[in-house]
Amino acid sequence: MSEERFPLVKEFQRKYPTREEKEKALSKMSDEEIDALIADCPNVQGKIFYAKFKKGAKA
Amino acid sequence: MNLLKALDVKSMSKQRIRDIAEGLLDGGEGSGNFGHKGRPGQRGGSGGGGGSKGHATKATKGEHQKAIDRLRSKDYDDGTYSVTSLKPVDFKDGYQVTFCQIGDDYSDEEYAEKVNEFYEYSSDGESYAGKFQSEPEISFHVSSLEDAIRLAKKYNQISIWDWATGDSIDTGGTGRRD
Repeated sequence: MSEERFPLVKEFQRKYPTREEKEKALSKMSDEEIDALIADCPNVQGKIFYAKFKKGAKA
Repeated sequence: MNLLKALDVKSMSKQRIRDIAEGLLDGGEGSGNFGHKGRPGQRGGSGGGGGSKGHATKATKGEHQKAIDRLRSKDYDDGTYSVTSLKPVDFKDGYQVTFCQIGDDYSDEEYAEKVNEFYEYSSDGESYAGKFQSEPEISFHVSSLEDAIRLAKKYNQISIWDWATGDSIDTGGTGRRD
């Protein structure tokens, strides 16, 4: 059986199905946790989305 | 309308203001110098084909490359930008789809054929560039999930982006040119 691709991102998406839920969750996550999601995410738009919630990110 | 007020120039860097001004006054410089000339005096010189639902200009390979070159500048933060205005965008719905660009060298004809297919399915006939740390990536906004997945699978893409949910939808590909 093959391993699931992008397990962190898919688990995050399963846990927080709406954009609002994701934004709320990301705003409470540490930069290290967000970096792990960014590293696992194959999509540039996804990386951009997650990175906006890092503490040092520009508003 | 006062254009300068509409653009909120006070909050922009000089580079951004210059980029937008050049885009508005374009037709010469912006119509494609990346190994391929656009129609003199017009934007979106590749023309033809397409039939996108929108009415924005269709950027050429030259315009895409020019936008990518500018977005590499540190004046531009990570984000998704309109290729024609270089202004940031944030959609509430629809999907972002792309094709393999890294390490590829398409001929002008190959590139035009490919992007015209994306324009055909795009919601607005516009193209976008997503910048995250490194090389900006050209992409297209597609309203239909079915169309977005079909394009992504055809071009062996790893995923598409769902703006409404913030989901990266796995489309099973490798992201490489097959």
